[in-house]
Amino acid sequence: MRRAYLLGLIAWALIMTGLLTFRGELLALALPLVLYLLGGMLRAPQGPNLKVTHHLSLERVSAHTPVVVSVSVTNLGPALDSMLLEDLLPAGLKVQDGSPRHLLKLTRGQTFEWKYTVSGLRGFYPFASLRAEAHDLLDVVRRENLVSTGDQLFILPPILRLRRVPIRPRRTRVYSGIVPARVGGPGVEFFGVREYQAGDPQRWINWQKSARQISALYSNEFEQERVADVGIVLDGRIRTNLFAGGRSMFEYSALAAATLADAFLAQGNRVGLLVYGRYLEWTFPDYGRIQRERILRALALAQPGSSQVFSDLDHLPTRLFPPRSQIVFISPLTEEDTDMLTRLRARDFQVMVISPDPVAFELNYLPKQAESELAGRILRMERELVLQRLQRAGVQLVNWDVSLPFDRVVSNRLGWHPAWVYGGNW
Amino acid sequence: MSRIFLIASIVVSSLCLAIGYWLGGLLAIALSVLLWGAFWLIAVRRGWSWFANIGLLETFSLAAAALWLKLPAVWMLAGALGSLLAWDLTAFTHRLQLGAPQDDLRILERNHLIWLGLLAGLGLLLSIAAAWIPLRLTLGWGLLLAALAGLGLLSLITWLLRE
Repeated sequence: MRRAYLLGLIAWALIMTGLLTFRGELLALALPLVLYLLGGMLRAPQGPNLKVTHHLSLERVSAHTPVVVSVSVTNLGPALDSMLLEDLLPAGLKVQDGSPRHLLKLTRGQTFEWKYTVSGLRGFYPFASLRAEAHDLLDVVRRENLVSTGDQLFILPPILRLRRVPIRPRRTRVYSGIVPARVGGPGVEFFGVREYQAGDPQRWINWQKSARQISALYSNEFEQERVADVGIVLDGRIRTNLFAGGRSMFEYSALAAATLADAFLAQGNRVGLLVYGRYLEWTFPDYGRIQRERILRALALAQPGSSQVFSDLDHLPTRLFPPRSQIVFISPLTEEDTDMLTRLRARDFQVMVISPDPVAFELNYLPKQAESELAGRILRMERELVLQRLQRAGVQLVNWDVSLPFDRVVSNRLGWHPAWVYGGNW
Repeated sequence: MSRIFLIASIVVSSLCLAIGYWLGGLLAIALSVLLWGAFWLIAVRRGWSWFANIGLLETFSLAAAALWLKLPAVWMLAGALGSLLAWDLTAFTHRLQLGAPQDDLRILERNHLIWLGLLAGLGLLLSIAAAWIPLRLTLGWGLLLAALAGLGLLSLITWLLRE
């Protein structure tokens, strides 16, 4: 439209000057401009009346998976001389093949179809609308219309398969599962010996103990295995996740959260997710596949952020988690975080910390110089102190060098071992 | 195709203006117009589409000044029209770049050039006729036409804003 204003302004100046000074040549000079404007207006398009169908080949994918977007546009109105159709791409998606934008002429009733391929990183990408811009041939008059498309694409964090993540919260739920419940009954692991009760299977009878007691028989008791409440806290604070050069560890934390949520839900546990960063993003605890989908979508949406309130862990809403349940905290950790995690232990929560190692992460990007190695050693010592403090508080800890695969690190560190290996601490 | 027409328009516009000034004895201005044309071509080469607005303004100002000085009108009108074409084609080539490689842009290009050519031919004929046909205006007619021009442009701007 600014084009028409510029022409109108020049034409107006020439006409006014010509009339005021009685110079017909100036009026003659204005004539081509006036004709140009009139020519544009003569073929001015009407507002585009379009029927749009929009389709994604997949709606939930993993990172870098190509997704084909199919668009079909039918012109229900009069013919349009020049039409720019642009499928408005959400920021962050990359076009791999084809183009989301086309310039064409659309006759009445004509349908134009096209496809293009996009891919991207973890995130939520709403395809809100398609922009249809109709011009006259000279682009004097422009009519724009936004047609809602309403598709959405979830690019989910990758999930690695973990065979089993052993947890041992103080309190379990009533349903049977595979988490040791600290209560005697049917199970696998030996729990204790009690007096024989009618109905006990014969193979449960502890013959050695019974032989020493003439008056009574004794049965072995096993530890019941049930499902538990697991609260996963994903640390989304910029101060813990973002490092020099804009490098972020948040993607690793999101991967760990997705993998652990998948593993805990596969074990039958009730799992909730809290993203702690710019604000609190809480996915209410639940069981099963639908909950897995909810958590993955929440993780797709999660982004690191900063907030004055949530700059430290003091505002971690522990009331969201059932008392004495299992909390899994995923964070690169800062020194101040130890206080809150220790307090959680003191309140009888079982705390597991998965900590992507920021020192190893940052050293990977630094040149191999004496100064950086010295700085790395100092930082590593500081981090060792933080980790030792947590371990002394009874926090189960996984220090993850992100150059190693997460599933391998977790399997090595948390792989299944008999309960006696861990003693009574967890 | 549009690009060739664009370059030709700039060359023709600069040459016509320069010839007009040269015929009027203003050689220095004629040379500076040629230099300006060369600079406009460089701007096209560098993809500075905003430069077309300045080029249009500058060319119409030079043409108006030449007509005020009673220099040959045909060259000035042709030069101004050339710059209008160059200004239009700059925006058009820029808009064509918005299309995808597989779009059939030749139809759009052909339709645009035909329509533009028609308007340009008609504009040149009308303006040359208007410049040559002597018409005496009284003050009353002049004021009436000025009022009409003002009203017309006002309604045009209102219409464009509404659209």
